[in-house]
This record gives sequence, C-alpha cells and structure tokens, in this order.
Amino acid sequence: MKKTILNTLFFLAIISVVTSCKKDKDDPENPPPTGNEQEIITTLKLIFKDSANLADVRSATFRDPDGDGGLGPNIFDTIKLDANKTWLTEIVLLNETVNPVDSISNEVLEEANDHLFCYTATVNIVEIVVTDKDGNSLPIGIQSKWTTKAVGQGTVQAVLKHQPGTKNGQCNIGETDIDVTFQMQVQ
Amino acid sequence: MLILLAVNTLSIMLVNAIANAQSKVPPCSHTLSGYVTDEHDGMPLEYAAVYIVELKIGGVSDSSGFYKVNGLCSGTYTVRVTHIGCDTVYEKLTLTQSMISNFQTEHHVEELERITISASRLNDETTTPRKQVAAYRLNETKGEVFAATLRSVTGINMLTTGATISKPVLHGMHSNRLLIINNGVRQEGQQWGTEHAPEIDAMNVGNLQVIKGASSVQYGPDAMAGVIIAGAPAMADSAGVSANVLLSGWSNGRGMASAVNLKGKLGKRFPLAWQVNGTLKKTGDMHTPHYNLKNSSTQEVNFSYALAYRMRKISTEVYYSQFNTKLGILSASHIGNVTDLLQAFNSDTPQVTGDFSYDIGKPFQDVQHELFKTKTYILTGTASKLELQYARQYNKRAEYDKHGSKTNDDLPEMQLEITTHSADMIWHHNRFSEISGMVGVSGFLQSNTIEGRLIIPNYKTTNAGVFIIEKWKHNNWLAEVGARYDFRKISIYKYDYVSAGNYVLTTPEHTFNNTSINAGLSYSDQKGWSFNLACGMAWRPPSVNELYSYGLHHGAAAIEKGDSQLQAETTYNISPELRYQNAIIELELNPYMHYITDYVYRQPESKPVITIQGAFPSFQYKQADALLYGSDLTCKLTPAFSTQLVYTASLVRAQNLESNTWIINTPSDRHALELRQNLKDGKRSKSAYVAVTVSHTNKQWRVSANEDFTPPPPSYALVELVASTTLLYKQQSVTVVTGINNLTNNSYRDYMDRFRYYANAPGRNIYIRLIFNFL
Repeated sequence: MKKTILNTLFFLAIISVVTSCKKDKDDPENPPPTGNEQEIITTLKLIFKDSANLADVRSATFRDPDGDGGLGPNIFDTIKLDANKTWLTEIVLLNETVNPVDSISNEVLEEANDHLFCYTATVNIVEIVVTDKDGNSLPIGIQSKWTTKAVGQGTVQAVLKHQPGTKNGQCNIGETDIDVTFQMQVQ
Repeated sequence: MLILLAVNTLSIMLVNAIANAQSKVPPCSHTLSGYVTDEHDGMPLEYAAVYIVELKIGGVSDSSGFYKVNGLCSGTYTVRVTHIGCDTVYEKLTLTQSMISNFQTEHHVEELERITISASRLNDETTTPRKQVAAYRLNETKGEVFAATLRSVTGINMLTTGATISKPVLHGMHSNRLLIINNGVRQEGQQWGTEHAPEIDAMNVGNLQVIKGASSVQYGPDAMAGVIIAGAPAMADSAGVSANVLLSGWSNGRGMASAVNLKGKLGKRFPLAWQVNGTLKKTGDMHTPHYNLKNSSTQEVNFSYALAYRMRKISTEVYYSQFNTKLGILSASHIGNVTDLLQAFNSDTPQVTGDFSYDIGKPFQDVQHELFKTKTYILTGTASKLELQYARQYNKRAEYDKHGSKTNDDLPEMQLEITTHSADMIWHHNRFSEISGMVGVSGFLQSNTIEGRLIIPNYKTTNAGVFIIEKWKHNNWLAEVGARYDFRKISIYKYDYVSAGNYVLTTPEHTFNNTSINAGLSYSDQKGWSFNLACGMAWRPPSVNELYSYGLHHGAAAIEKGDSQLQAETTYNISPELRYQNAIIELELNPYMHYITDYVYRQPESKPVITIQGAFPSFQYKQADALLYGSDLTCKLTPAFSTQLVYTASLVRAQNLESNTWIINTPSDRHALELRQNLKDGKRSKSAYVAVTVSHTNKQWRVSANEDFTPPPPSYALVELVASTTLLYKQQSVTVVTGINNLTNNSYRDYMDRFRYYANAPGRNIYIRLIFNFL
C-alpha cells in the first residue's frame, strides 16, 4: 500500500516536472524589429479634390514614422486650399513602420460600425460635412466635403473615435485612436 | 477631525490604563506567548503543545507557530514543550509579568531529543524590525489578493490599479524597491510595472513576514525598502494525513474561492513528507455604491506540491507551484489620449458601467507564474549545515487592449516572457560559543522577451553575489553585522529606427557592482523594554524600463522615456525600534529614514509629445538624491483580559532633495483604531472574537505641481467588522470568519489607486470564510 502511494507520488512529481514546466521558446537575442504590433498608425493623409475640377488634387500629411514616442513627426503639413470652393476629401491612414507600407484605412472601413471621424474647424474658414455612411446609416468620416470660405487662417482637428457597440453619431464617446490638429490656410 | 477624536480618546485611555496598571495589577492576568519554530530553517511548527505542569493548562501553536497561555499568576512554573516525534522537555520559568518565550527545535533525526529553549523577548534573533502576520489575520483575508494579506502590518500600503490589481508598498517604496521572497526564492516577474501585481497564490500562504529596513543582505540587491517573505504552509512532521479546506464567498463581485491543502508523512522507515495544494477563485464585476465597475472580474487557478525527505545527515525538498490568473481591467480606464482622460475625470460616473457579469472582456491581463525549487541541507558537523538551492521561474504576462487586433483577436497586444534560473549555496554555523552566522554565494540568470507593443527591449541579466552575516548574542544583547557584494550584467537587444521600415539591431551592455552592508544592535530586558537599532546600506541597479522604455504608456496616458546613462541608486538607512510591553500596554514605535543617492524617478517634461493620437505629457527618467522618512506606531491596550484596543499609525514623507519637491505616489497618513473583544473558549468552540476597525486615510496634500493630471482625492474613513470562531468536533475543527468591509458603503477614491481618475473604489462587501481542518 505504502509503496503504491510512494510510487504514485514520485510518478506525479516526475510527470508534473516534465509536463508542466513551460518552455520559453523566445530568444531574447533576436527581437522582432517593430514589435509586430498590429495597430500602429504612423501617417494620416488628407487628399482634396476640387469638385469643379477633379484634376486639381491637393494633400496634407501628418507622418510620425517610428510611431508614438521616440522621434516626433517628420512631416506635419499645413492644409492649403483655395477660397470659396467645395473640396471632395478623403482620409488615407498608413502604417509606415513596415515594409511594404500597410494601409489602415481599409481596416477602419471594415469596422465602419465602430468608427467615427469627427472634424472641428475654425468656423469662418471652412465648413466640413461627412458624406459616407456605415451599415447603420451613421456617418463614418473617411469621406467628407469641405466648403472653404473667404481667405483666412485657422485650424482643423481630425479625430478618429473607436466606439464598439456604442456608436451613435456623436463624438464625445469612445476611445481616441487619432487626434491631429492641422494648421489651415485658405488662400 | 476623526483622527483627533481617536487620538484624544486613545490618550485618555492610555493615561487611565497606566494609572490602573500601577494601582491594581490584576494578580493572575499574565500571559506566556511566543513562537515555536524549526531551528533548521526558521519555519513555524504547528501543533506544538506548551503546557504548564503546575496549573494543568497550556496552549497549542497555530500555523504560524504562535502559542499563547493566558491567565497566569506570578510564580515559577515548569513548562513542558512537546512536539510530535520529539521527546518531552521540561523547562523552569519565573514569571513576574507577561512574557514572550520562543522555542526552537531542531528537526533532524539524530537531534530529535534536543530542544533548545531560548527565553528571548525578541521575535526570533534579529536586529531588524520583522513582523509576522498572525494566523487569524491570514484567515481574515483568505480569498483576497496577495497584497491585501499584508494589510495588518503597520507601514504597508497598497498601490492598486482599479479593483483587481494590487501591489504592496512598504515605507513609500514598491515594485523594484521591495523584494518578495516566495518559498525561499526571489520572486522574478515583471515587477517593475506598477500595474503588475505579485504572482503569488494568497490562499496558499501559511507563513508571512515583513522585514522592514534595507539591511537584509541575505536576499541580494533591490531590497531598498525591505523584504516580504511568503511561504507555503509547513510540511507535516508526523505520520498520517491531514487536510485543510477553505471555502470563501463575498458579496461585492459575487466572488467565491476554494482551496484544498492535503498533507501527510509516510512512516518512520521512509520519512517522506508531502503536500498538495489547489485553489480556485472567481469573482464578477465589483460595484461602487452607485454603479458597477464594468469588467472588474477576475479568475485564478493555482496548484502546488511539495515533497520533503529527511535523513540523518541530509534532508531535501522539492517544491513546484503554478499560478494562473486572468484579470479584467475596468473598461472605462482604457483611453486614447489626454482629452479622453480629462473627460473621464470630469464625469462622476464612468462612461462604461453596465450590468453585473462574470465575463472578462477586453482589456484584460493573462498572467502565469511557475516556480520549481529544490533545496538540500547537509549537516557538516554538530552545529553547522550547508544549504543548497536551485530554482527556476517562468513568468508569462499577456496584456490585451480594449481596441484589439482586427486580424487575430486571440493575440495579445503585448506579451512578456521571463525565465529565471537561480542558485544559492549557504553555510550556516550555529553558535560557536555566542556567535552564529552564515556565509553564502548566490546567482541568477534571466532572459526576458517582449512581443507586440514594445515598452521595453529584450534583455538578459546575470547576477552573482557573495555574503556573510554574523550574530553575537550575550545576555540581553544581540549584535549583528552583514555584508554582501553583487555583480550584475544586463545585455539589451533592441532595434533602433533608421528610416521608415528600416531598423538596425543594437546590443548595449550595462554592468553594475556594489556592496551592501548592515549592522544592528538589540537589547531586551526583563521589565518589558526592548530596543533595536538597524543601520544599512543597500543598492539597486536601474531596471530595464528605467533605462530603455520609450513610448506611450496606455492607461497612464503618458510617454515615458528611459535614460540608458542611469546609475545604480544607493540607500543609507537607519531604523530604530522601541518596544514596551506589560500586562496592559504594548507599545511599538518604529521610525525610519532612507537617504537615497541617485534615486530614479520620472520627471515631467515641459513640452508635450505630439503623436497621431494627440499631445501627450512626457516623462523622463532621471536621478536625484532623495530622502524618505516616517514612522510606524502600534499601541495595544488590554484594559481587561478579553478586550483589546489597537491603534496604528503609519506616516511617510518622500522628498526629492534636488528639486525640493514631494515624490509622487507616496502614501498619505493613515491611522486605524481597532476594538477587539475576545470571547471565552467554550466546550465546543475556541479563539472566538469580534472586532471593529475604523481606519482613516488622509488626503495627500504633499504633491508637486505639473506631475499629475488631477488633484489628489479627499480624505476618507472606512469601518470594518469581523467576527470569528473555531468550532471543535472531536479531532476536527472549522474556523468561521465573517465580516463586512466598507460597512457604511462609503464612496471614495484613494490616492494610491491608479484608476482614481476613472472611478470610485468598491463599496460595501460582506464575506464569509470557512476553514475546515481534518486531522
């Protein structure tokens, strides 16, 4: 009897040592270059097309190629648009820490029901209206229409909210994925 | 106001008590108490019987080795100490007042007949303030997180991250500055992170001690504030099988926990002791008085086993434990940027509350910790032994963000894996005349990897150390000196950004070496006075996050920048302790001071960092000389035999001496008053008591401008009730503990809670714990 108990105990001990000691398979000497984080957004690009002349394309870019922290943004353009025109606008989001560059805009579109772009502009220079809608007929904001007013200067803040399950078209809820304030010149 | 009242009441009672003590000392109200420990390894011995032959009364030691005999008159008695497997030993003691008498027994077969009796007033032989958590205090907190089990130790605070994550703070220091020894092994996880709780199964802790002060050279660098020593329940020392079953349930979070501990020992021919332990815990969303804390559910599954074999010259043991937990993190706490944070702060109720649920959604942490240890003692002569220990620890921490991956939902946004191998060799020599001590070498190898969001780089650490501690005991005096030298090398493996998509691997190396020293003196007399003076010097190499963190700390909404040029910090510590004890009063005053050179701290930078998520405040790790000082005070009054009033206060001040500012996240002043009524032992019950505690936490007004997003929360007071009894049935017993935390259902926020920006602390909680002992 005792021998059985003993044998069982030793057996259990050996089994647990052999099976439960978890192996750390990673090698600290070979780290992944960018930490294979999926959600890095390095670049926000605004592309403007004159609604009266679609060949007239302008753009403004915010680009922080090593992500949050580290080095600051190396491109942070001022938006320059002609006065008294309507501009069809589209946002492009990129992850430039990887090669080839990864487009994030599509991922936002795939989860359009959970995302919302909001724009806050200095009132007397531009009026911004979101034109695209998600599956619940709520705005997304990847596409918008910017109507410039008289010549002047101001700012435009572009905010991307992540609102899983709570999206109602309002911008004061959810987690902020993007918050960039551009300088704007209407000329 | 409340404190003033408490202090006033207390001082009046003190004066009365002293007056009473002098005029009419109750003739037969002395107590004899102390600890029975294994001289071998200092482990407490349970079920040792201490019997006073003349009076035919006695006591039995509990799981922490503590025994107590009440109602003794002055006189000379014969004390009989028996412990299963040992010969009975008689010892004469003269009692003129309440006395503490500790007993130590050696456990080797050849020495079973020898029981050393030392009538020492000090709790074990050390000059450093050392506090043992009483067994009944452990019972009161079974089912709570590890840090909570230390609550009763004056000077300990908790640094929490919401309702689910909690880590101990001693004298204002925590994380890398407070060493935790779990089952004789330095706990090695990701302890640098303030939101990383110690990976220890609180329900499998049988022995818990706190060493205050930097002078614990046995355990290596990093012990700036002190050491927390946790151990599994003692191994069985007599043949047979016994079991211990814990069932616990609590209202806030509708939580439940169970733990089973089975232990036994085979017969004399084959003296193998064994122990198996398993615990389960599950709790749902907790609630504040007004709303639910969405996603504050947790789960825990742990198990361990131990085998010990004791022969004539060699005894050896194997221990294995696994800790697995999944911790929900308050939904409302995951925010994108400072605007979100300020919005969260300005709303009384978090944005996300929701109904009660046991589900753990994102964000959450999934943590595993594995410990394998083997230890061997070899007797090297009559009064010395060699201790050899090897341990392997593996710790895996996976953190899932609220806003997870779109491609693979099961992939954590950050995963850290750290493996540590450690080895120790210590030679103990016991009492060459009046001197005893130990000499040792120890070392560890560690490798850490990170995947996902890169907060810190991969690294390898090598540490080696040698130490010596000698103690000299003469009459009422004990002197202790210790010294230790350590060498540490940290090799970093990281990629540096060159241009978009283009990174280059760099491998910087850092070496640190230094000496830690401690010296202490203690004195105790027969009149109830005792005095300790411990001085020490300890050092801590900077941790990898302080050297290299470079990026956004989600949840903290801050950019942290490490500095690879940081040097090791050194503390010069002095910590006297004064104690006085008679039948009515027990006073304990422990002031302390740490002068720390090159103290590493986060300095706020004037310019925020612009990121695609908006502007974030940025913090740079820097070094400056700092001064941390304060005092712990405990005052126990026993006006009548069964009534006890305990007042505790802990004060800490932390100053940056270069910028002349207060150091952030330092606990504010805390006072507590406990009224305890012990009930008489009945035929079928023993150790029954009821207690009410009022604790007051002051507002932390010692803060510096620009370092925090919001001002510290106001002061608050909490009321706690607890009642306990042990019911006996033949050989078996069941201990019932029931109580209420936050009785008045107070809404409050604590300065030491990192989620004080987002939500209130949990409200009222009613709990019951049943501890069955089967012999």
